[in-house]
Formats: sequence, C-alpha cells, structure tokens
Amino acid sequence: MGPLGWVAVFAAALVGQWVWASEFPFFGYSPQLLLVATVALAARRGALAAMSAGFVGGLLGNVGSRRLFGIDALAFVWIAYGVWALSKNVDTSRLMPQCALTIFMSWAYAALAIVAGLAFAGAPQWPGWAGCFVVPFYNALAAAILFEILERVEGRRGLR
Amino acid sequence: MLSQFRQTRLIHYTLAVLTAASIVILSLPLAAPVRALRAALHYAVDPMAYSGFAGVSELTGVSRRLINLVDASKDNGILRRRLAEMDLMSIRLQGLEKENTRLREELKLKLPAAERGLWAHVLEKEPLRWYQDVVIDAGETRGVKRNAPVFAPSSQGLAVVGQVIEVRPETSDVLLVTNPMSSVAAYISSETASGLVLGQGGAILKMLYLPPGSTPAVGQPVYTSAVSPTFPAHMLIGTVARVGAPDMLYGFLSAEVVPAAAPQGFSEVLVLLPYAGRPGKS
Repeated sequence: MGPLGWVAVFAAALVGQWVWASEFPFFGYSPQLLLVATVALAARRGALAAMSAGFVGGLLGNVGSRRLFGIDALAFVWIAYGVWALSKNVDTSRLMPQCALTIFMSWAYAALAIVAGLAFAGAPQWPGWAGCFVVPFYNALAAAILFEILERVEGRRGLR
Repeated sequence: MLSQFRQTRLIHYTLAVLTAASIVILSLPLAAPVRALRAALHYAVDPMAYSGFAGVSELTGVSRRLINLVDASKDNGILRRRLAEMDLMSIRLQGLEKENTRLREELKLKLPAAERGLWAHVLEKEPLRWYQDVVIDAGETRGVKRNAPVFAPSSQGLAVVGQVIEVRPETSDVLLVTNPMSSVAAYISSETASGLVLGQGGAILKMLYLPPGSTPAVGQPVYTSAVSPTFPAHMLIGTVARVGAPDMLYGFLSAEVVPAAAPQGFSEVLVLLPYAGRPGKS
C-alpha cells in the first residue's frame, strides 16, 4: 500500500477513534486506533514513515482531546521507534507478534503518558486500572482487524 | 551495509528531532507558535470530525429508518386490510341500500294482514325457457308454498312476476306471467275494463276479454284484479302496448301488454305466502 493509502488509514483511524469513543464506547473505553495504525505502519514500512505519521497523527489526535497537546505525538514517535527496534529480533510481519506488540506498546503509551504528565503538567495522565488492562486488549483486537484488512488490500496472502 | 547504517542514523536523527519538537510543544503550550499550530490543526481536523460524525449519524440512522420502513410496511398491511374491510362494508352498504329500497317497495305493497313477504334470489334462468319459469333460492324450509304469488321490483314499483308452481326444500320453481300456461285476472286503470292477461311465451302478454265498450289506451297500466284468487288486487302487471281489433264473434277487445317485471329485469323476487286452500290456477 502506498503513502496515500497510509494517509487514508491514519485519517480513518483519527476519525474512527473520535467516533468510537463518543458513539460506541465499550464499558466506557475505546481502542486507540492511531496507536494501532502507528504500530502497523512501523511493522510494515519501517520507523521513518511511522514516526512521521505518528507525530502528525498524534498532534491531530490531541487537538480535539483534553490530554496534553503533543503528548500523543511524543508517544507515537517512540512507539514507532520501539516497534522498529524490536522488529530486528521479532517477525513483526505476522498477526500474533503485531497484536502482542500492540499490547506492549499500549502499556508503554500509558507509562509514557504518566511520566510526561508528571513532567509537563505536574500530574500523571493516569488512564485508570481498567484503562491499563482493558484498552490494550481493545487495541490488540483492532490491530488484528487492521492486519486482516491490510493483508487483503496488499494482497500478500495470495502471494504467500 | 552502509545504506543500512545511514538509514539507522536517519531514524535516530528523526527520532531526536521529533522528540525535541514534541517536548517543545509540551513545554510551551501557551507559546504563540504552538497555539498557532494548534489552531491550524483545528482547521484541518474539524471538518474531518464533522464529516465523521455526520457519516456515523447517517449510518446509525439507517437502522432507525429500516425500523420505520418495517413499521410502515406493517401499517401498510393493516391499512390495506382496513381498506379491504371498507370495500366490503361499502358493498354491504350498497346491499343495505338496495334492501332498503326493496323494503320501501314492500311497504308500498298493501299486503293483506295475514300475508307476509319473503325475498329470494333467482338461481337459474334457462335461455331456452327464458319466458317460461325461473328457479329461486327459497323453498319449503323458508315457508314457501305452492301457488304463492311472486313479485319483483320495477321502475313503477313492485310488479307481478308469476306464481310458485313447484316447491322443494331449498328452492322453488316460479311460473312466469309470460308463460303460455299463465293467466291472471286483471283490469286496466280504472277497473272498468277487466280481462284476463295471458302469457304468450315471449316478451309481450295478451289481455283478452276486455268489454266491448271499454276504451283501453296505449300506456295505461294493467293491474291484478280483486277477483284473482292467486294475486292480491291492484298489483302492477304491465302497461298496454297496443290495442287490438274487437273480436268478430263476441266483440271483446284485446290488448298487448308489456310486463313491468320482464324476466331479464330482476334477480330478486318477493314471494307472498298464500292463503290456505287457495286454488292452483287463477
């Protein structure tokens, strides 16, 4: 999938995240689709593209939220970097590693939000225990769905 | 290898630059450039958010519209059934109106106190016996007796149709006045010219034995006579269509009479229950 396709994925993730959070929250929580898209992009296209897209997507995602402006941009840049770094040792092109990475990166995001909140706002951006233990699995589920969609779009399944 | 090293270095540079940018943005949220950036991003994001929510609203509205459609379909079915019921009621109403008209006609008929009318439908008219007889759907179980006089509504009120000649449990045969076997004592208008109306096996009746001095005229109505043992008096039979020449031997006049209740003109008839002991032939 080309750059325009990934722009569409991030735009859909951005809008989908707002809509999901406001219209269809599951027990009050919704998946972080931008984080899922950043992980998927990093796993498929490498760190440079994922860091850039994550940075812009994070800023755009923060515009309409009550979180610190820029915190998602910082988190997604490091998440993209982390996925790239891990991809040297883990086969991130498969479904299960991507889901596992997504869960791991969701916790990393929560930890980074706490640290950044303390550093820049004087209070941790604590998502709550349920947020720490429920949202990552939502994210993993969304990652699996996105993985299937991308597989079909890119036609890899047919080539294997 | 060198390319990969450069790639890695580029990634690290990018990481550093973007991290620094993020930290600047986080550190200086109220700085003019950051606020300008945020405002610019708002301009980019708001239409997307608006479109997204509008699209979701449309999508979520689909189920509601589908439910409305299903409800409308159910309502449509109910209304169609009601419309069919209304049609049926309309038909029943028309039937009641007809019945009302019939009853009015029946009231015009000055029935003897001991007699009562019984409405029946014509079941069968055989083309070959069109002017001979008809079968009606009332029989012994409804009280019909042999020789009962039978009438039908016409444009001038109830008119003589004939008399019952055969009674079965559920049906009866009616001998029409147009049958050559039929004869009815009758008079023209003022009761001064009495005679006998005979069937001819066709659309026209013949009235015989009109007194020589009488002056029957075309268009005059012909009624049943009080001397008729079968029919009540003063019931319309028809109208004079033509006056014939006097009889050569006795001088009686004759006339052709058009029956008011022609066989093709009625589908319902009124049967009168006859007096007990009435003879079969008038």
